[in-house]
Amino acid sequence: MTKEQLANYIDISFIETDKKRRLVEALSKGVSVPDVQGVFEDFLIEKINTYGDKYEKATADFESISVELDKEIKSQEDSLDKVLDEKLATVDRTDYDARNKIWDEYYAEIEKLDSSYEKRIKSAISKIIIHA
Amino acid sequence: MRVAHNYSLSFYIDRLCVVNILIIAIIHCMSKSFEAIKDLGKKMIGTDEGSQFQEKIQAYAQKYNIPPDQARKRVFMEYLQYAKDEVGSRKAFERGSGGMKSFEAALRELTGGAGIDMLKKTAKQRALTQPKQFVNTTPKDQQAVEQYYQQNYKKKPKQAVLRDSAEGVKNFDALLEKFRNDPKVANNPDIMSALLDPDLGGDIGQALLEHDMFEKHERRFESKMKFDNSMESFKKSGIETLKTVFGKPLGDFVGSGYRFARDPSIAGAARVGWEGTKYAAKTLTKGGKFLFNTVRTTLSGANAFAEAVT
Repeated sequence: MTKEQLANYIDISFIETDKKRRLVEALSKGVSVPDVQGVFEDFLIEKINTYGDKYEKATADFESISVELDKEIKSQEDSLDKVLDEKLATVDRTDYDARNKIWDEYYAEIEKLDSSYEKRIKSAISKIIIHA
Repeated sequence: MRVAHNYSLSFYIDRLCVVNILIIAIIHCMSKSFEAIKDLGKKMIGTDEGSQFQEKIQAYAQKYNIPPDQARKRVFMEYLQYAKDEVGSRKAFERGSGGMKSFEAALRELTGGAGIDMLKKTAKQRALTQPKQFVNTTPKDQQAVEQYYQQNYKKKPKQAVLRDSAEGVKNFDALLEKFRNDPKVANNPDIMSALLDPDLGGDIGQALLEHDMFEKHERRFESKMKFDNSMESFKKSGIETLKTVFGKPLGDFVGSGYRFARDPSIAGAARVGWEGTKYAAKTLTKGGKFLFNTVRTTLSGANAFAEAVT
Protein backbone atom coordinates (compact mmCIF):
# COMPACT_ATOMS: atom_id res chain seq x y z
CA MET A 1 0.00 0.00 0.00
CA THR A 2 1.32 3.44 -0.88
CA LYS A 3 1.47 6.39 1.48
CA GLU A 4 -1.26 8.17 -0.51
CA GLN A 5 -3.56 5.16 -0.46
CA LEU A 6 -3.18 4.79 3.30
CA ALA A 7 -3.75 8.53 3.80
CA ASN A 8 -6.93 8.21 1.76
CA TYR A 9 -8.15 5.24 3.80
CA ILE A 10 -7.39 7.10 7.00
CA ASP A 11 -9.37 10.04 5.69
CA ILE A 12 -12.51 8.04 4.80
CA SER A 13 -12.34 5.76 7.84
CA PHE A 14 -14.71 5.96 10.83
CA ILE A 15 -12.09 6.77 13.47
CA GLU A 16 -12.08 10.10 15.34
CA THR A 17 -10.88 13.20 13.45
CA ASP A 18 -8.09 13.86 15.93
CA LYS A 19 -6.67 10.38 15.44
CA LYS A 20 -6.91 10.76 11.67
CA ARG A 21 -4.91 13.99 11.91
CA ARG A 22 -2.17 12.40 14.05
CA LEU A 23 -1.84 9.43 11.68
CA VAL A 24 -1.58 11.64 8.60
CA GLU A 25 0.99 13.77 10.38
CA ALA A 26 3.02 10.65 11.21
CA LEU A 27 2.93 9.66 7.54
CA SER A 28 4.10 13.09 6.45
CA LYS A 29 6.94 12.98 9.02
CA GLY A 30 8.25 9.88 7.28
CA VAL A 31 7.03 7.08 9.55
CA SER A 32 6.79 3.91 7.47
CA VAL A 33 3.49 2.83 5.93
CA PRO A 34 3.37 -0.54 7.80
CA ASP A 35 3.96 1.21 11.16
CA VAL A 36 1.25 3.81 10.55
CA GLN A 37 -1.08 1.13 9.20
CA GLY A 38 -0.52 -0.95 12.35
CA VAL A 39 -1.61 1.90 14.60
CA PHE A 40 -4.42 2.82 12.19
CA GLU A 41 -5.78 -0.71 12.51
CA ASP A 42 -5.50 -0.48 16.30
CA PHE A 43 -7.64 2.64 16.13
CA LEU A 44 -10.09 0.89 13.82
CA ILE A 45 -10.31 -2.05 16.20
CA GLU A 46 -10.80 0.31 19.12
CA LYS A 47 -13.68 1.96 17.26
CA ILE A 48 -15.20 -1.37 16.27
CA ASN A 49 -15.06 -2.43 19.90
CA THR A 50 -16.62 0.86 20.96
CA TYR A 51 -19.45 0.18 18.54
CA GLY A 52 -19.79 -3.25 20.10
CA ASP A 53 -19.91 -1.78 23.58
CA LYS A 54 -22.45 0.81 22.49
CA TYR A 55 -24.54 -1.78 20.71
CA GLU A 56 -24.54 -4.02 23.72
CA LYS A 57 -25.42 -1.14 26.02
CA ALA A 58 -28.15 0.10 23.68
CA THR A 59 -29.75 -3.34 23.31
CA ALA A 60 -29.44 -3.95 27.06
CA ASP A 61 -31.05 -0.56 27.76
CA PHE A 62 -33.83 -1.28 25.30
CA GLU A 63 -34.34 -4.74 26.72
CA SER A 64 -34.54 -3.40 30.24
CA ILE A 65 -36.96 -0.59 29.28
CA SER A 66 -39.05 -3.09 27.37
CA VAL A 67 -39.16 -5.56 30.28
CA GLU A 68 -39.94 -2.77 32.73
CA LEU A 69 -42.72 -1.43 30.51
CA ASP A 70 -44.15 -4.92 29.96
CA LYS A 71 -44.22 -5.44 33.71
CA GLU A 72 -45.94 -2.12 34.29
CA ILE A 73 -48.55 -2.72 31.60
CA LYS A 74 -49.16 -6.26 32.85
CA SER A 75 -49.78 -4.96 36.34
CA GLN A 76 -52.22 -2.33 35.03
CA GLU A 77 -53.97 -4.99 32.96
CA ASP A 78 -54.26 -7.19 36.04
CA SER A 79 -55.93 -4.30 37.87
CA LEU A 80 -58.36 -3.84 34.98
CA ASP A 81 -59.09 -7.59 34.99
CA LYS A 82 -59.85 -7.44 38.69
CA VAL A 83 -62.24 -4.52 38.25
CA LEU A 84 -63.86 -6.35 35.34
CA ASP A 85 -64.42 -9.47 37.45
CA GLU A 86 -65.94 -7.39 40.24
CA LYS A 87 -68.27 -5.59 37.87
CA LEU A 88 -69.34 -8.77 36.05
CA ALA A 89 -70.09 -10.48 39.36
CA THR A 90 -72.78 -7.90 40.11
CA VAL A 91 -74.54 -8.18 36.77
CA ASP A 92 -77.11 -10.71 35.71
CA ARG A 93 -76.10 -12.89 32.80
CA THR A 94 -79.22 -11.85 30.86
CA ASP A 95 -78.59 -8.14 31.30
CA TYR A 96 -76.85 -7.91 27.94
CA ASP A 97 -76.79 -4.13 27.77
CA ALA A 98 -75.07 -3.87 31.14
CA ARG A 99 -72.65 -6.66 30.32
CA ASN A 100 -71.85 -5.16 26.94
CA LYS A 101 -71.20 -1.82 28.60
CA ILE A 102 -68.84 -3.40 31.13
CA TRP A 103 -66.94 -5.27 28.43
CA ASP A 104 -66.82 -2.23 26.14
CA GLU A 105 -65.39 -0.12 28.95
CA TYR A 106 -62.86 -2.84 29.70
CA TYR A 107 -61.77 -3.17 26.09
CA ALA A 108 -61.54 0.62 25.77
CA GLU A 109 -59.21 0.72 28.80
CA ILE A 110 -57.09 -2.05 27.30
CA GLU A 111 -56.86 -0.07 24.06
CA LYS A 112 -55.75 3.00 26.01
CA LEU A 113 -53.07 0.95 27.72
CA ASP A 114 -51.91 -0.46 24.39
CA SER A 115 -51.78 2.97 22.88
CA SER A 116 -49.70 4.30 25.78
CA TYR A 117 -47.44 1.24 25.55
CA GLU A 118 -46.94 1.85 21.84
CA LYS A 119 -46.03 5.51 22.39
CA ARG A 120 -43.61 4.73 25.18
CA ILE A 121 -41.85 1.83 23.49
CA LYS A 122 -41.46 3.85 20.28
CA SER A 123 -40.11 6.81 22.16
CA ALA A 124 -37.69 4.56 24.07
CA ILE A 125 -36.23 2.96 20.95
CA SER A 126 -36.04 6.32 19.17
CA LYS A 127 -34.12 7.89 22.06
CA ILE A 128 -31.74 4.93 22.22
CA ILE A 129 -31.09 5.03 18.48
CA ILE A 130 -30.56 8.82 18.52
CA HIS A 131 -28.16 8.62 21.45
CA ALA A 132 -26.35 5.67 19.95
CA MET B 1 -64.64 11.17 -58.08
CA ARG B 2 -68.11 10.24 -56.95
CA VAL B 3 -69.92 7.54 -58.86
CA ALA B 4 -73.68 7.81 -58.94
CA HIS B 5 -75.51 4.53 -58.46
CA ASN B 6 -79.03 3.90 -59.52
CA TYR B 7 -80.14 1.01 -57.33
CA SER B 8 -83.53 -0.61 -57.78
CA LEU B 9 -86.09 -1.01 -54.97
CA SER B 10 -85.45 -4.74 -54.81
CA PHE B 11 -81.78 -4.02 -54.11
CA TYR B 12 -82.74 -2.01 -51.04
CA ILE B 13 -85.29 -4.61 -49.90
CA ASP B 14 -82.64 -7.31 -50.17
CA ARG B 15 -80.21 -5.24 -48.12
CA LEU B 16 -82.91 -4.52 -45.56
CA CYS B 17 -83.64 -8.23 -45.22
CA VAL B 18 -79.99 -8.98 -44.62
CA VAL B 19 -79.81 -6.27 -41.92
CA ASN B 20 -83.01 -7.58 -40.35
CA ILE B 21 -81.69 -11.09 -40.28
CA LEU B 22 -78.51 -9.85 -38.66
CA ILE B 23 -80.46 -7.89 -36.04
CA ILE B 24 -82.65 -10.90 -35.31
CA ALA B 25 -79.58 -13.08 -34.99
CA ILE B 26 -77.94 -10.61 -32.59
CA ILE B 27 -81.13 -10.30 -30.50
CA HIS B 28 -81.40 -14.09 -30.44
CA CYS B 29 -77.82 -14.42 -29.24
CA MET B 30 -78.34 -11.69 -26.66
CA SER B 31 -81.54 -13.27 -25.37
CA LYS B 32 -79.66 -16.55 -25.06
CA SER B 33 -77.00 -14.69 -23.09
CA PHE B 34 -79.62 -13.04 -20.89
CA GLU B 35 -81.14 -16.45 -20.23
CA ALA B 36 -77.73 -17.77 -19.29
CA ILE B 37 -77.13 -14.77 -16.99
CA LYS B 38 -80.58 -15.19 -15.46
CA ASP B 39 -79.91 -18.89 -14.88
CA LEU B 40 -76.61 -18.07 -13.30
CA GLY B 41 -78.26 -15.46 -11.07
CA LYS B 42 -80.93 -17.92 -10.02
CA LYS B 43 -78.28 -20.47 -9.30
CA MET B 44 -76.33 -17.94 -7.27
CA ILE B 45 -79.37 -16.75 -5.38
CA GLY B 46 -80.44 -20.32 -4.84
CA THR B 47 -77.20 -21.22 -3.15
CA ASP B 48 -77.50 -18.76 -0.25
CA GLU B 49 -78.68 -20.10 3.07
CA GLY B 50 -82.01 -18.27 3.00
CA SER B 51 -82.97 -19.67 -0.40
CA GLN B 52 -81.84 -23.10 0.60
CA PHE B 53 -84.07 -22.86 3.65
CA GLN B 54 -87.08 -21.95 1.48
CA GLU B 55 -86.25 -24.70 -1.00
CA LYS B 56 -86.02 -27.24 1.77
CA ILE B 57 -89.44 -26.20 3.08
CA GLN B 58 -90.95 -26.73 -0.37
CA ALA B 59 -89.20 -30.05 -0.82
CA TYR B 60 -90.24 -31.18 2.65
CA ALA B 61 -93.88 -30.23 2.07
CA GLN B 62 -93.90 -32.11 -1.23
CA LYS B 63 -92.09 -35.17 0.03
CA TYR B 64 -94.28 -35.68 3.12
CA ASN B 65 -97.37 -34.11 1.63
CA ILE B 66 -97.81 -31.72 4.55
CA PRO B 67 -98.92 -28.08 4.67
CA PRO B 68 -96.19 -25.43 4.23
CA ASP B 69 -96.56 -24.21 7.85
CA GLN B 70 -95.84 -27.64 9.18
CA ALA B 71 -92.93 -28.12 6.76
CA ARG B 72 -91.54 -24.72 7.76
CA LYS B 73 -91.61 -25.63 11.41
CA ARG B 74 -89.93 -29.01 10.84
CA VAL B 75 -87.17 -27.56 8.67
CA PHE B 76 -86.59 -24.71 11.14
CA MET B 77 -86.30 -27.19 14.00
CA GLU B 78 -83.77 -29.14 11.94
CA TYR B 79 -81.74 -25.97 11.44
CA LEU B 80 -81.98 -25.19 15.14
CA GLN B 81 -80.80 -28.70 16.00
CA TYR B 82 -77.93 -28.44 13.51
CA ALA B 83 -76.69 -25.19 15.10
CA LYS B 84 -77.15 -26.63 18.59
CA ASP B 85 -75.25 -29.82 17.72
CA GLU B 86 -72.44 -27.95 16.03
CA VAL B 87 -71.90 -25.52 18.90
CA GLY B 88 -72.46 -28.30 21.43
CA SER B 89 -69.90 -30.64 19.91
CA ARG B 90 -67.22 -27.95 19.66
CA LYS B 91 -68.33 -26.13 22.84
CA ALA B 92 -67.51 -22.94 20.95
CA PHE B 93 -68.99 -20.82 18.18
CA GLU B 94 -66.71 -21.70 15.30
CA ARG B 95 -66.22 -18.64 13.12
CA GLY B 96 -68.13 -18.96 9.85
CA SER B 97 -69.73 -22.18 11.06
CA GLY B 98 -72.32 -23.59 8.70
CA GLY B 99 -74.77 -24.34 11.50
CA MET B 100 -74.96 -20.82 12.91
CA LYS B 101 -75.04 -19.23 9.46
CA SER B 102 -77.92 -21.44 8.36
CA PHE B 103 -79.79 -20.94 11.62
CA GLU B 104 -79.53 -17.16 11.41
CA ALA B 105 -80.50 -17.23 7.72
CA ALA B 106 -83.57 -19.32 8.58
CA LEU B 107 -84.52 -16.83 11.29
CA ARG B 108 -84.12 -13.97 8.83
CA GLU B 109 -86.32 -15.78 6.32
CA LEU B 110 -88.98 -16.34 8.97
CA THR B 111 -88.94 -12.99 10.68
CA GLY B 112 -87.92 -10.62 7.90
CA GLY B 113 -84.95 -8.24 7.78
CA ALA B 114 -85.35 -6.68 11.20
CA GLY B 115 -86.61 -9.87 12.83
CA ILE B 116 -83.31 -10.89 14.38
CA ASP B 117 -82.93 -7.51 16.04
CA MET B 118 -86.50 -7.79 17.29
CA LEU B 119 -85.76 -11.17 18.86
CA LYS B 120 -82.70 -9.72 20.59
CA LYS B 121 -84.74 -6.78 21.80
CA THR B 122 -87.37 -9.18 23.14
CA ALA B 123 -84.64 -11.03 25.04
CA LYS B 124 -83.36 -7.82 26.58
CA GLN B 125 -86.84 -6.69 27.59
CA ARG B 126 -87.65 -10.09 29.06
CA ALA B 127 -84.46 -9.94 31.14
CA LEU B 128 -85.80 -6.88 32.97
CA THR B 129 -88.70 -8.82 34.45
CA GLN B 130 -87.02 -12.19 34.90
CA PRO B 131 -85.25 -13.40 38.02
CA LYS B 132 -81.45 -13.30 37.85
CA GLN B 133 -79.82 -16.05 35.86
CA PHE B 134 -76.51 -17.68 36.57
CA VAL B 135 -74.77 -20.10 34.30
CA ASN B 136 -72.44 -22.52 35.98
CA THR B 137 -69.60 -23.73 33.85
CA THR B 138 -67.14 -26.48 34.65
CA PRO B 139 -63.37 -26.23 34.10
CA LYS B 140 -63.95 -28.57 31.17
CA ASP B 141 -66.29 -26.05 29.50
CA GLN B 142 -63.64 -23.34 29.81
CA GLN B 143 -60.95 -25.73 28.59
CA ALA B 144 -63.01 -26.37 25.47
CA VAL B 145 -63.09 -22.65 24.68
CA GLU B 146 -59.40 -22.41 25.47
CA GLN B 147 -58.77 -25.27 23.04
CA TYR B 148 -60.75 -23.43 20.38
CA TYR B 149 -58.53 -20.38 20.77
CA GLN B 150 -55.36 -22.44 20.95
CA GLN B 151 -56.27 -24.24 17.74
CA ASN B 152 -57.13 -21.06 15.88
CA TYR B 153 -54.66 -18.57 17.34
CA LYS B 154 -52.06 -20.66 19.23
CA LYS B 155 -52.78 -18.46 22.22
CA LYS B 156 -55.35 -18.40 24.97
CA PRO B 157 -57.45 -15.41 25.99
CA LYS B 158 -57.81 -13.97 29.48
CA GLN B 159 -59.61 -15.98 32.12
CA ALA B 160 -62.61 -13.62 32.18
CA VAL B 161 -63.05 -14.07 28.43
CA LEU B 162 -62.76 -17.85 28.73
CA ARG B 163 -65.35 -17.89 31.49
CA ASP B 164 -67.75 -15.53 29.72
CA SER B 165 -67.44 -17.39 26.44
CA ALA B 166 -67.89 -20.79 28.08
CA GLU B 167 -70.97 -19.48 29.89
CA GLY B 168 -72.28 -18.13 26.60
CA VAL B 169 -71.88 -21.46 24.84
CA LYS B 170 -73.55 -23.32 27.68
CA ASN B 171 -76.38 -20.82 27.86
CA PHE B 172 -76.89 -21.00 24.09
CA ASP B 173 -77.24 -24.76 24.28
CA ALA B 174 -79.64 -24.56 27.25
CA LEU B 175 -81.80 -21.90 25.58
CA LEU B 176 -82.19 -23.83 22.33
CA GLU B 177 -82.93 -26.99 24.30
CA LYS B 178 -85.56 -25.10 26.30
CA PHE B 179 -87.10 -23.72 23.10
CA ARG B 180 -87.10 -27.13 21.45
CA ASN B 181 -88.86 -28.82 24.38
CA ASP B 182 -91.30 -26.05 25.19
CA PRO B 183 -94.90 -27.32 24.91
CA LYS B 184 -95.82 -24.02 23.26
CA VAL B 185 -93.50 -24.98 20.41
CA ALA B 186 -94.52 -28.62 20.36
CA ASN B 187 -98.24 -27.81 20.30
CA ASN B 188 -98.00 -24.94 17.87
CA PRO B 189 -97.86 -25.98 14.23
CA ASP B 190 -96.82 -22.47 13.22
CA ILE B 191 -93.22 -21.64 14.09
CA MET B 192 -93.75 -17.97 13.19
CA SER B 193 -96.26 -17.46 15.98
CA ALA B 194 -93.98 -19.39 18.38
CA LEU B 195 -91.20 -16.94 17.61
CA LEU B 196 -93.55 -14.04 18.26
CA ASP B 197 -94.21 -15.34 21.76
CA PRO B 198 -92.15 -13.06 24.09
CA ASP B 199 -90.87 -15.98 26.11
CA LEU B 200 -89.94 -18.25 23.21
CA GLY B 201 -88.72 -15.42 21.01
CA GLY B 202 -86.76 -14.20 24.02
CA ASP B 203 -85.01 -17.57 24.27
CA ILE B 204 -83.91 -17.40 20.65
CA GLY B 205 -82.97 -13.72 20.97
CA GLN B 206 -80.92 -14.49 24.07
CA ALA B 207 -79.15 -17.36 22.29
CA LEU B 208 -78.26 -14.98 19.46
CA LEU B 209 -76.95 -12.42 21.94
CA GLU B 210 -74.69 -15.09 23.45
CA HIS B 211 -73.35 -15.78 19.99
CA ASP B 212 -72.74 -12.04 19.46
CA MET B 213 -70.84 -11.79 22.72
CA PHE B 214 -68.66 -14.78 21.88
CA GLU B 215 -67.81 -13.23 18.51
CA LYS B 216 -67.12 -9.87 20.09
CA HIS B 217 -64.57 -11.45 22.42
CA GLU B 218 -62.98 -13.25 19.51
CA ARG B 219 -62.74 -10.10 17.40
CA ARG B 220 -61.19 -8.18 20.29
CA PHE B 221 -58.79 -11.04 20.94
CA GLU B 222 -57.74 -11.01 17.30
CA SER B 223 -57.11 -7.28 17.20
CA LYS B 224 -55.18 -7.43 20.49
CA MET B 225 -53.08 -10.25 19.10
CA LYS B 226 -52.38 -8.23 15.97
CA PHE B 227 -51.33 -5.30 18.12
CA ASP B 228 -49.04 -7.47 20.29
CA ASN B 229 -47.47 -8.97 17.17
CA SER B 230 -46.93 -5.54 15.65
CA MET B 231 -45.19 -4.42 18.86
CA GLU B 232 -42.96 -7.48 18.79
CA SER B 233 -42.04 -6.72 15.18
CA PHE B 234 -41.38 -3.13 16.13
CA LYS B 235 -39.02 -4.20 18.93
CA LYS B 236 -37.20 -6.54 16.57
CA SER B 237 -36.86 -3.84 13.93
CA GLY B 238 -35.51 -1.50 16.63
CA ILE B 239 -32.76 -4.00 17.41
CA GLU B 240 -32.12 -4.42 13.68
CA THR B 241 -31.77 -0.64 13.36
CA LEU B 242 -29.17 -0.66 16.12
CA LYS B 243 -27.32 -3.40 14.31
CA THR B 244 -27.33 -1.28 11.15
CA VAL B 245 -26.19 1.82 13.01
CA PHE B 246 -23.20 -0.01 14.47
CA GLY B 247 -22.54 -2.41 11.63
CA LYS B 248 -22.66 0.00 8.70
CA PRO B 249 -19.48 2.07 9.27
CA LEU B 250 -17.13 -0.91 9.06
CA GLY B 251 -19.13 -2.40 6.19
CA ASP B 252 -18.89 0.86 4.24
CA PHE B 253 -15.21 1.20 5.03
CA VAL B 254 -14.12 -2.24 3.87
CA GLY B 255 -16.52 -1.77 0.99
CA SER B 256 -14.30 1.08 -0.14
CA GLY B 257 -11.53 -1.49 -0.69
CA TYR B 258 -9.51 -1.44 2.53
CA ARG B 259 -7.91 -4.76 3.50
CA PHE B 260 -6.80 -5.23 7.08
CA ALA B 261 -3.12 -6.04 7.05
CA ARG B 262 -3.57 -8.29 10.06
CA ASP B 263 -6.55 -10.17 8.63
CA PRO B 264 -7.60 -9.57 5.00
CA SER B 265 -10.60 -11.90 5.42
CA ILE B 266 -12.37 -9.14 7.37
CA ALA B 267 -13.21 -7.32 4.15
CA GLY B 268 -15.92 -9.71 3.01
CA ALA B 269 -17.25 -10.54 6.45
CA ALA B 270 -17.60 -6.93 7.54
CA ARG B 271 -19.77 -6.13 4.56
CA VAL B 272 -22.52 -8.21 6.11
CA GLY B 273 -23.43 -5.42 8.51
CA TRP B 274 -23.49 -5.98 12.20
CA GLU B 275 -22.62 -9.69 12.05
CA GLY B 276 -19.54 -8.80 10.03
CA THR B 277 -18.56 -6.10 12.49
CA LYS B 278 -18.93 -8.56 15.36
CA TYR B 279 -16.80 -11.06 13.44
CA ALA B 280 -14.20 -8.38 12.71
CA ALA B 281 -14.05 -7.34 16.33
CA LYS B 282 -13.65 -10.93 17.43
CA THR B 283 -11.01 -11.76 14.84
CA LEU B 284 -8.97 -8.59 15.04
CA THR B 285 -9.00 -8.21 18.79
CA LYS B 286 -6.24 -10.06 20.53
CA GLY B 287 -7.64 -12.74 22.79
CA GLY B 288 -10.97 -12.54 21.03
CA LYS B 289 -12.84 -14.00 24.00
CA PHE B 290 -12.75 -10.54 25.59
CA LEU B 291 -14.79 -9.28 22.72
CA PHE B 292 -15.32 -5.52 22.65
CA ASN B 293 -13.34 -4.91 25.83
CA THR B 294 -9.80 -5.73 24.89
CA VAL B 295 -8.82 -2.92 22.63
CA ARG B 296 -6.79 -1.18 25.28
CA THR B 297 -4.86 -4.39 25.87
CA THR B 298 -4.30 -4.53 22.12
CA LEU B 299 -3.06 -0.99 22.04
CA SER B 300 -0.79 -1.38 24.99
CA GLY B 301 0.77 -4.34 23.23
CA ALA B 302 1.44 -2.28 20.12
CA ASN B 303 4.85 -0.98 19.20
CA ALA B 304 6.61 2.07 20.52
CA PHE B 305 5.24 4.18 17.71
CA ALA B 306 1.73 3.34 18.74
CA GLU B 307 2.53 4.46 22.26
CA ALA B 308 3.82 7.73 20.90
CA VAL B 309 0.80 8.34 18.71
CA THR B 310 -1.82 7.36 21.28
